[in-house]
Amino acid sequence: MSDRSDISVARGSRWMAFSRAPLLRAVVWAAAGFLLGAEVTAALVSDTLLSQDAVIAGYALALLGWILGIGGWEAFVVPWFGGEYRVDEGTGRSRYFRFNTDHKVVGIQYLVTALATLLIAGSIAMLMRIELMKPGLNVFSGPGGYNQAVSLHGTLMIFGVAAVGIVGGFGNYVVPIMIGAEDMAYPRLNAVSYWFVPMGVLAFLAAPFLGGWESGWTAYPPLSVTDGTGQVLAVLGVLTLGISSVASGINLLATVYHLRAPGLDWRQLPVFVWSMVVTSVLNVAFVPFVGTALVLVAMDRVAGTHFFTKDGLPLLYQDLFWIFGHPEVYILILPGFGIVLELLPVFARKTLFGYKWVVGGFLAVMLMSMTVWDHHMYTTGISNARLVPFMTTTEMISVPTGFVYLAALGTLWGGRIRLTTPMLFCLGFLFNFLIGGLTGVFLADVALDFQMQDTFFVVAHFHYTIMGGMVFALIAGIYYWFPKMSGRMYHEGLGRLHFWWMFIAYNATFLPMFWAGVEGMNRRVADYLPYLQPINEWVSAAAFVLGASFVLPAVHLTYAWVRGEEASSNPWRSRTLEWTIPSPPPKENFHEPPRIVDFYDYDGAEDLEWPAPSHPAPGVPVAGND
Amino acid sequence: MSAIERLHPSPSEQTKIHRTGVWLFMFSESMFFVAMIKVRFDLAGSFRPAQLDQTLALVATLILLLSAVPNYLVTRGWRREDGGRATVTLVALTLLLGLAFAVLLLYEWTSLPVDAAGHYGSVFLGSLTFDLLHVVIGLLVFLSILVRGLRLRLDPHGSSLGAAGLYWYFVVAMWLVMYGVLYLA
Ligand code: HEM
Repeated sequence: MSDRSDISVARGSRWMAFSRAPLLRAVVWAAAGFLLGAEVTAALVSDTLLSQDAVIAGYALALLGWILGIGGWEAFVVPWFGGEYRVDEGTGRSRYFRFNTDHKVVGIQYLVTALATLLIAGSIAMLMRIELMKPGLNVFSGPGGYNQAVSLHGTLMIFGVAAVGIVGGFGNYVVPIMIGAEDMAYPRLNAVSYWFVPMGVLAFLAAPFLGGWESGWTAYPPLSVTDGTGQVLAVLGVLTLGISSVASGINLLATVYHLRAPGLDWRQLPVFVWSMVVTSVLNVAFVPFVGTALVLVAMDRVAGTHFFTKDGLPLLYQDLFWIFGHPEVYILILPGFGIVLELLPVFARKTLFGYKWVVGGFLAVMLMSMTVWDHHMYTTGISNARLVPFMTTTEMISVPTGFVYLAALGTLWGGRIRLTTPMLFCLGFLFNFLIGGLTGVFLADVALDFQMQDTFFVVAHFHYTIMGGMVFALIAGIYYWFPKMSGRMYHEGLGRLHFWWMFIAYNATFLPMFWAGVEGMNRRVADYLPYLQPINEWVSAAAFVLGASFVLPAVHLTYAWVRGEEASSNPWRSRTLEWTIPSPPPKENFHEPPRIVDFYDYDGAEDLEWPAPSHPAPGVPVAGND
Repeated sequence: MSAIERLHPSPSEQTKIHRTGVWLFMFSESMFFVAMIKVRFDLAGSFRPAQLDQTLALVATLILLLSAVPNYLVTRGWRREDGGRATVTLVALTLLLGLAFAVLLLYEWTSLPVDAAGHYGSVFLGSLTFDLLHVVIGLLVFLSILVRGLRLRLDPHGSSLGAAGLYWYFVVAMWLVMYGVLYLA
């Protein structure tokens, strides 16, 4: 008797535990979806289970199962048909593993996912640098092994780190608070946008099991059409992350448009919010172009069309890809500028120089970014008539970019500069981006690009803008907002050590790559002529030191998140709204109406104790939740 | 209203916010069609094969245009006093007309009068796939609204029905553009 009831209790609680672990349910539903889609397609088209048609159908259902399983079922389907919205969003740490509509939780989910992806893709870069230490090493198996690694590294970095790190992380965490809102405009859409990201990243990471793909992050046909089945997963992963980017772009735009606190005018918006607006417009407008290009590649593979192969036009793909791709690189760098310009006034204790020029510069870059794409195609045999116009537009876009850059310098000029860790990373950003930006102007020149296209000069150039720029800004933002997000302080000495280690190793790795490129080192090739060996040995050695520099903050920040000293609500004496509320902020952000002030008015501020003492303000609870 | 309450959007503001989202979504989606138009003219110029079934396309287009009429009446809240019954009927009518269009298009898609491996054939197949995808999404939304109508009273001024109606106009407009590009160019 008693045995029986014990069993049923155990069974009941096991079932409860299962339904309380949505992540587990998501995995099970995704696996079931994949099997269903793949099996049915395999049966119908009488193919094998892992043929490309089966993988496409299986992935589509897996994605559906994943989203419904994590909480989409309770959040969308049930309420739509008249049920109640009943999602257990969790408390404490478990919130991060669930469907959660709090923009602060979503922001941290994005951030941690992007950082984890950065570490994985960085480890792949280490393997690539081992291969490049000597010609003929062949550490990767098979003839395409090295290019598969390059493709995986680049795709993960661009779509899984650079495009989502700042926009998903800080765009979600900080923007609603900066404009005095309670949450994003569409909290449920926000929760679901995040959960697309791990699936997309997993699609890339699963590709090697289906033979990987060799066409790089750009997936140019004809190679991307004739490549192995892994290419299909890369396409699906980009589409998944694209859906997420468009959704979060729509969300950010509607948030800033509708939810600004009373009295907060567009002309007073913090520059970081402006950078998010501009980025979101680019996401919403241009991601569909890469979507189209990749869907057509998939059709060439499975539906018997010939858009890009046989009699088709491979250059048409490049057109579509770069109509998206060049705005995309501004999607990556403008958020970086947003963070840096937001931080410089705080740490230079000085008004932001030329606010209007910055906003104007952002808008001009946004508009001009759609007029420059052909500079990626100078050497492909496009008509000569297209060369000079695109060279001109490309060189012209450096003008508004220059406004933004000069505003940064103007802010520093005569400031009372505090060399805290976030500030060091901002200065590192300015140094690196100057190199990245100026070499970009060289590459815009048709004659020079004919020499440099597809060499390591280009590899160095875009790493200087994306890694030296965007990633440095991301890290600056992490240190700056760390006390706000965690309620705790990191260790300043370790932070500075991280900066100098990373900054020096970074430049030691990538500066010589320009030279290697000029000397004739080709991109996306595992081997090279022996005269290039010394420089590659140096670059690889520096790259390993650079790779090791990531271990320090990973350990340090994880420890500080749990054990760090308690932070006050405004350790930097900043003036934007997120610093007027407790650290970490309560779920609804504001207990009293936000007071709109001139966010950059630091000129009059007296020289206060620095950093601010860590006792909490009287009457303000230190821990909002968690 | 106290200032802190202003941070929660009111129901009428909520509807406006949802409307903004649908507009942004439609803007984003329309870019797929811009891309497809570029593909069409880059790949096939203004070439148009003689085997295209012009009558079928014209009939399908007219049917789709017709579906905008009940959709219009729904979004204007026509006869919504009678407990939502008229609304359900009108939504069902839109759905049926949309379905008829989709079936005709699907027939065209499967019987495919042109060679899929050729320039125009690729464009044709690709464009129809994109368009059908949008039509099917719209139909699924209407279908789910009908199922929802079995349990809940449908409010034409609520945000979901308004959003669905707006999206359906978008579907109709995009097909008109693609019809011009594929059949008339
Ligand atoms: C950890 C330090 C890093 C090292 C040592 C490194 C090294 C490399 C190397 C050696 C290549 C391949 C060159 C070739 O043969 O074509 C490459 C490609 C690339 N990397 Fe990195 N990288 C690092 C970090 C990053 C970061 C942070 C990003 C962006 C967020 C990034 C984005 C890319 C992209 C987009 C490609 C091009 C892939 C392609 O050709 O399709 N990398 N990297």
